[in-house]
Amino acid sequence: MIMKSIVGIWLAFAFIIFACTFNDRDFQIKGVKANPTLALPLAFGDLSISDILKKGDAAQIKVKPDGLVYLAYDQALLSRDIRNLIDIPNIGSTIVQLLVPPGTYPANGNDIISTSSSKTVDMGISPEKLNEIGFKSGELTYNAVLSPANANFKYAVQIAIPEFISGNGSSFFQEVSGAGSIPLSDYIFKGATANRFTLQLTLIIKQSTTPVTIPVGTYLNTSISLAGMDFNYVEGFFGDQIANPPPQTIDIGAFGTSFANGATVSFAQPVFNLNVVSDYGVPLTVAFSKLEARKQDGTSLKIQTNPASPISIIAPTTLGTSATTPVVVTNVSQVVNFAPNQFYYQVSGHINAGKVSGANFMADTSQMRVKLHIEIPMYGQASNIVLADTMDIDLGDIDQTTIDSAALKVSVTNQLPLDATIQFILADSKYHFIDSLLTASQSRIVVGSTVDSNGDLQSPGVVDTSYPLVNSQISKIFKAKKIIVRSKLNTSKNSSGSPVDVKFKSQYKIKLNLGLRVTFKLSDNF
Amino acid sequence: MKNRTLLFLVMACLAWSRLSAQSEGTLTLMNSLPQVVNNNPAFIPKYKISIGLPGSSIMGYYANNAFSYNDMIRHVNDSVKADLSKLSGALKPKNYITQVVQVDLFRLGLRINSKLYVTLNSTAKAYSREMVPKDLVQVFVNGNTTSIGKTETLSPKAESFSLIETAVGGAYQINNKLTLGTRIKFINGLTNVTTESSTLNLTTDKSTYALTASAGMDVRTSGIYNLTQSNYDLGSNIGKYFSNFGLAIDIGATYKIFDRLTVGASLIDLGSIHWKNNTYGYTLDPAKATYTFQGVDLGRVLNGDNSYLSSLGDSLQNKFKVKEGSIGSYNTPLPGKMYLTGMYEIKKNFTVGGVFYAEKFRDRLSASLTIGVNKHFGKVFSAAGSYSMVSNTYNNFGLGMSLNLSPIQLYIVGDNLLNASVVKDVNSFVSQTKFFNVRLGLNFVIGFDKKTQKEKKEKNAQSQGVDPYQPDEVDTVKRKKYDNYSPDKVKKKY
Repeated sequence: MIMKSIVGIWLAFAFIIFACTFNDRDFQIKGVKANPTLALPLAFGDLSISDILKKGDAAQIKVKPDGLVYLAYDQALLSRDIRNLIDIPNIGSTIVQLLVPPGTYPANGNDIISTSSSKTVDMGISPEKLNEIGFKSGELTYNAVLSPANANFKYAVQIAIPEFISGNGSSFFQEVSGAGSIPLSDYIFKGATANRFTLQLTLIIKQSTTPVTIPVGTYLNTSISLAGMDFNYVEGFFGDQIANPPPQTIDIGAFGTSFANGATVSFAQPVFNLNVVSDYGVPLTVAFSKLEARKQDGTSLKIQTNPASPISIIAPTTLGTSATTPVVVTNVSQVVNFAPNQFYYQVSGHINAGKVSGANFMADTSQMRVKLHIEIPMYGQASNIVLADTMDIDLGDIDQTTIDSAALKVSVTNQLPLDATIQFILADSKYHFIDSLLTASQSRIVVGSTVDSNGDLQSPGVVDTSYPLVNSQISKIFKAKKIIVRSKLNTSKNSSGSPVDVKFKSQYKIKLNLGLRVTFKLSDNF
Repeated sequence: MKNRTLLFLVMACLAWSRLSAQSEGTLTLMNSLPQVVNNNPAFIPKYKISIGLPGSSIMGYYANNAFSYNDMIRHVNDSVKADLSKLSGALKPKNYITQVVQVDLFRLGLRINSKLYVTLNSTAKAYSREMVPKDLVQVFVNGNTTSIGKTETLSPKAESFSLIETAVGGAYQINNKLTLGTRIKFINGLTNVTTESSTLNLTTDKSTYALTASAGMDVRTSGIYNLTQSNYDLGSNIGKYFSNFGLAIDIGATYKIFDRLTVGASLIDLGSIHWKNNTYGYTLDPAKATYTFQGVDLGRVLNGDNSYLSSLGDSLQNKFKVKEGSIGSYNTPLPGKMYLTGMYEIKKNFTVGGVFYAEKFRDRLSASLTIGVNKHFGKVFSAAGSYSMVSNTYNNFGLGMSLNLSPIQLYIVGDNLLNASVVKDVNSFVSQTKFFNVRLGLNFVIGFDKKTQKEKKEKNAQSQGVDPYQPDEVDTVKRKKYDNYSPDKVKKKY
């Protein structure tokens, strides 16, 4: 009986196990839904005024000992146009004929000095009247030809130029025959008469072991020419001449286009220095035919100087030195506040104006430098400065329906005395306006710091908020192909709302974090 | 007062350990099964001789300390949809999913005399435990906004091994009250995956949403990498899989506090395995693998650093690139277990008992509690019923049955079997089960417990008017056993 019961229990248990139905449909998951909300950082920055200034001005951004940031622009016009006024022309072929005395010459054991001739040569330099030329290059070319030819007659010609002094103090003296050339570098022309030298040639009958007969009417014809002459220095009178260098520009990147469209700016304590440095030992007058600040929109402002143009430039007293003539810009604030994009200037240099004589000098390396030094301190006030940049946006790969909601998180701690409203403008591929992401009240994302009476930081401006984006806005983001980030900047105002001069120091930072919080609607059916 | 303190300690321990472990509470109650010695080597089963042959007994175990299938889905009309929010709500901070399979290759239990019982067994075991942190699931289900300003722990961990264990053990009855047992296990590890360390933390800054990720990893494997290689010839290398040697010991004791109440304690699998075959590691340097993404760096963009964004990706890849390669040998511990048992024989062949179980493996200490009854219906049929609190579930009604048709014993036992047997269909059971274990098979058994035989003899003697407690000339052990009892006492007791 017990056995039967036990077996019955086992059978019942087995029946229960095997009678259980297994329906695999309960384990076939047909779909899934999820609504995850992700918080993601978009961008961050710990930016100083140096980062915000246009990158083209990076080399010009300087910091004063107290941390005040300023833009320093330096440029020098290197003009060699006055030096280039002086040119030493080639001296064409000068023929000197020496008579060879006729007769029969016995064999002789020594050279015999024969006939000679002398000629004054004008170098053709004008209007300069040079008494001294240190030759850097050039050569004297000669060609001595016996006429009629006589192969048995041995001869040479001595060429002497007393005004050409070599490095060892001796004058030019060379014995040559046939054709050839002699370099003139390291010779110095020193002439009592400007621009002229004496060319002396002498026939030398060379020693011979055989007698020779010279017929009547035999001449030694020697041609002399000088070419390729340039100078290390010149002294004398350079004449009344004018040099016209090409115009020069200095680009100012800092202001870009941001200061157009109604922006006003006022910089405190700007610096604008203009110095003319001359190496020329000659009375020089510089005339600025153009000296102005220019904007990209074509407007310009004349830069006024003291002394006014034309300006007499101080000359150095000795060769190899320089002399500086300071020029003061009298409307410097006006010029800097004009927020120019470029400085443009054109000068001309006038030497020996109205003079007919004088003791001038210059070296081959002499030049005139017009040096500009501009300092624009980031100290002052500005309003309506517009910064804008365009970014491509293409969310075509994302299914818009998977976005349920989104919000832009903004966290800004701003030590810069600069308020900013930022707007994200959505546009299609042809920049046609679609919508703006933020309302007017939302767009004041950056609050400027407050400053004390010296314009120094008092307390930073803080914004930490979240801007919900409604579905219609999200939909437009997906339609957009361009997103234009446009910000309008104003320097901080005082407690009564009046603009004050503020300082941008290198240690002031704007700590900015942008984040995005997105809730997705994800679902899938299998 | 002592009981209250004990109860408090047990409850505190359970609460702390979150009720999850690889326990077999109901089996512990069933002394008719030779396998009961698995849980305490001091246990002496009912049969003098028991033999198991390859594959004659198997055990399967599944535990999920957090969620069931029902917690993952919802029924919409006639179909099933995944419900991730529901799943997320059901998760624990650390979600452990454990699977175990054991197959007896050979088993011999032999009672040498009334004091000594020896066992010899060989068992193939496979163990796998995965830990999935709640934060990891939540990031996918809810995103990272639920933990803004906090650090999310995303790193999963895995422990897995397969082995063949050959053990020899014995239980020795020191006196009428105390029995001690031990078992030495010689282990051949086959495959292993172990997570020495694993971290993947993600922090979302409350103010800026900046994401900070830091990671570290030291995962070691043995005998796995080669199997993933297409040209690997397992057949010619099978011998290498037996080169991972391990050693473990089980110790246990039972103590009869008084005649009907016996308590026991055991420590199981105290040992480790030395892995040296095809050891391959995956590491990530925590000092290097850390990065904070704050978004696009406007400073660098404004300064015209055009290569910045592309270099950002390269930098991330380099920082979080997992380094892999062959490594040296290493040791792993076995999941160490502890059983505390108490059995009270309410009346003849009817015992109530409680089993407290704890397991320590890697950085996890888990526990369970089982209370139950065991009844021998003669020597032919034994049954047990139990209730277990395990794997964070409190509806586990276990069942054990053994049909003792000596020399064949059929049995099945499991801590959640009763639930399985009363539900209408398998679907319901599978869908709502977070914990399930079953051990079943057959043993060859000979010689039911002497005490039971003696009791039968007593019964017969009483019916024949013979004093059953007179010493038996051929059974000196029996004489000793009852030396301390007067017949009157025993008569009164029974």
